[in-house]
Amino acid sequence: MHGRLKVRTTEQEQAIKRKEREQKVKAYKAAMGRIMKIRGNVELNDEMLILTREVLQRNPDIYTLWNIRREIFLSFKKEKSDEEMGKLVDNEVKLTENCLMNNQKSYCAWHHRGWVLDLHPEPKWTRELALCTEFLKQDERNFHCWDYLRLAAAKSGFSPLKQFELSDEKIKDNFSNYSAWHYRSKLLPLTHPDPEGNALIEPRQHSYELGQVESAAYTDPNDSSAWFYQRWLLGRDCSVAQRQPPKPLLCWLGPHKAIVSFSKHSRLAPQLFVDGQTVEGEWMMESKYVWVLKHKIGNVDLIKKAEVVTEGGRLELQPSSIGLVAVVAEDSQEHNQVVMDTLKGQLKNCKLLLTLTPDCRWTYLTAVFLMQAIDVRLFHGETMEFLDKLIQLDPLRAGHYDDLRSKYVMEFKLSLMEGSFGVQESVSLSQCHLSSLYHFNQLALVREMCRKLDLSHNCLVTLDSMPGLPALEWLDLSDNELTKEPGRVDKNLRNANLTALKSLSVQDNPCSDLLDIEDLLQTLSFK
Amino acid sequence: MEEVKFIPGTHSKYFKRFLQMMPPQTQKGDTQRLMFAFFAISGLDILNALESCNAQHRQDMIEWIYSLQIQPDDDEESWSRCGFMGSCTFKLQSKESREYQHSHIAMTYTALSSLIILGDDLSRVNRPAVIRGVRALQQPDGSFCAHLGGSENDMRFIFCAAVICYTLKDWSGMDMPLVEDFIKSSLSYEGAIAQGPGLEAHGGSTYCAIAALVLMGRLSIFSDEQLDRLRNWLLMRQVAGFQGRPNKPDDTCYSFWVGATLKLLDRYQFIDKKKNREFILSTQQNLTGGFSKWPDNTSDPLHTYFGLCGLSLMSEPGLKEIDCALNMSVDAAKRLEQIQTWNS
Repeated sequence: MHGRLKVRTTEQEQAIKRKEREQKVKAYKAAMGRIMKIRGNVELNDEMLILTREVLQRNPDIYTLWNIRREIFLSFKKEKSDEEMGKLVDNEVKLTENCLMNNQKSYCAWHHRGWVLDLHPEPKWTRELALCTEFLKQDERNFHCWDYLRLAAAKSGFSPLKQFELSDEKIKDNFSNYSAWHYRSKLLPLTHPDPEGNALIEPRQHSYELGQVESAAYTDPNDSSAWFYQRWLLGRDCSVAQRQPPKPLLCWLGPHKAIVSFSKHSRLAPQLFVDGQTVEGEWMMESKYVWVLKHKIGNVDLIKKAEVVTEGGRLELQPSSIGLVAVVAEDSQEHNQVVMDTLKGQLKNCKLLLTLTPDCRWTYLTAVFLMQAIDVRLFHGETMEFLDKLIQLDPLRAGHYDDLRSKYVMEFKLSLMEGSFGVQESVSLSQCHLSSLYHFNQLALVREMCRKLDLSHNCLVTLDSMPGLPALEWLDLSDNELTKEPGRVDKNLRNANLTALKSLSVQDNPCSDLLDIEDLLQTLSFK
Repeated sequence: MEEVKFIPGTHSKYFKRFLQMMPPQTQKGDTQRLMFAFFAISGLDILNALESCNAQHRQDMIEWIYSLQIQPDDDEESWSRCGFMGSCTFKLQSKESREYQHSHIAMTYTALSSLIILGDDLSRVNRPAVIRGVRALQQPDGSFCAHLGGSENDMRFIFCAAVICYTLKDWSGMDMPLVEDFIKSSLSYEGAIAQGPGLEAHGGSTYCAIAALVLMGRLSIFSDEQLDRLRNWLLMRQVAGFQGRPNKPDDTCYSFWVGATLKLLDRYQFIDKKKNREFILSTQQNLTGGFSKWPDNTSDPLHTYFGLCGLSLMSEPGLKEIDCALNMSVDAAKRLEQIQTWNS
């Protein structure tokens, strides 16, 4: 009995629901039909407002209907008194509020609210701030509301400093740190800019912010937003380095070619002077970091003075066994003493935090970034250790950490290579856990000189970023993960301009059986 | 836990039903039907099920889309209104009321893409009019509105504008440097991209910005360091499936928004595919077909489409490969290339 009743009720309910829906659709179609019929008929404005309100309360996302109401309000503005206008706008604002109660993320409703309030003779924008606070209490991540809050604050005539204080209040009001960091990141450059113009935020405030991050990290080390905020504070966006032009790091002058490699993307070609004269020729950008000049000097042994001039500095080249060279030492790159001290201080904090919460992946990740920024050589071992730990703590991103490892291994090897030129003819990157070939395009000089390259016993899947290696005679790719994907590895090798290659090994790879070495070597040398 | 099986046949049926008649829940989308149709059309294409649709039916859809095109008239101003509407709801017959007919940028975008996917050659598209209609929607800050009568403006419509210009091979539809400025100023402290300046970074707007830049050929506005920080942020979005922002639950559609961006930035290979696939399939609705945003919710066309795309990125058998910047199958993208034989 009970069961049957239930079934009947459900059927009945379904039928009722169906009828309701049909009626709703009917009403909607009727209303829309009438709306389209009377559009533009000024005398029927009042009816239009009633009709569109009816539809919008259920369907707040129909742009056109809000537009129709806007047209009508614009005509009201011309004819109605201030008092009347005030009432009309108040009602309109109430309409948007009803719509928002229905859907707090309606683009149309928020947009219309902001638009119509401007037509009020005495708009109470500060009251809008209170509205936003209410909405944000329900859903602090509602970005429509945050956007509206900024509008309301601006219309209230709040200076950036006042808005900053407002956000500080909200932090105490128990908003999560997440939104607070975000708001601070936008306002601080306005309220506390660096008077010298060297950085985004003035130094004392910058230190204060780092202190805030420290407190947050100690309170809740798993709140990722604090760590991202810290990275932003310490990164190029906030610091001096961004404003500096690219520095030349390495210059080489050979009998027919000159190469200059930079610290970051350089859009301007360098200039080369030999014994007081500019060297003629066209500089080509070989990659974002490297410029190359083909010239006709010939014998460089007799040159007394060679100099490279760039917007980021000039370098004087010295004779060496491989031509004329200038190399900039690691330490004098990018970071000044103040920045270095800050980074070192932050690293110390991280290590301290790790003794208290040894399983926080954010701390390890931040420590890795800091170590790499401070001294690649000194911290190489520890970086590798921390990356292993990260793979353990955060297996979802194991691939990413492996990739970071490849990057840092290359940076380490790069830092070793710069000192001793003999190494450059024969480069060993065997057993380095490499899953990608990072920075190769920056090793301009190595690529030019390199006759022997050992990439054996790594985890390379493709050679997509293998650059041109015109001097290479011997290449060992054995024991990697080179893909079976038809033609992939083949294509990579052809793109690497290996015209001098005499010996190639790809054994112990998934693709081993697919490559005909003899054939490949023959075709490569014909290119 | 029992492994959920992927049921492409049921999803095809879902989309085909949808194209016949939209369910009542989508009443709110009445004026944006074209966009919903795109999800079904492109979805069926990715499911390799479009060919099995009746040829007449496909032609009918093409005709329906063209019926939504707004053409200019003698008045110079009318060119700014051109493009496509979302449905015939506001289609007017009388000349006087024609001035109320405006295109909607997302409808113009989905119209063009749907036409290509359905096999049309875009010969009946009034290209100069569409482009002028797009250009008219650009704001002084570089972003785009959707609709000449007024609307919000944000990153979504920049993406729409970029696809339209790319498709019609006419970049006079946007002032590119202004767009680049808007995108750069929408970078948040997290190193990812928001809907607009001042807002928090978001997976959806990040996709829109990066895909637009790729289509514009201007990804180089970001330094390697900025791109690395962005890649890092994107990879941190995986919780099983993907979330759109930190501290938010995962949602099926982000497997595409975040996943496709990672593909465009060459880091997709570092995600955990197993966990991602498990999550997407946990939102599969076995009875009705389709995918929902979370497990145990009702499916809808948007999440169904992006759920399928999310699976396609992982080379799920039975699904076509996607062109991540254009948001359509690689097949369709190739066909677009073939028909783009116009002189600029």
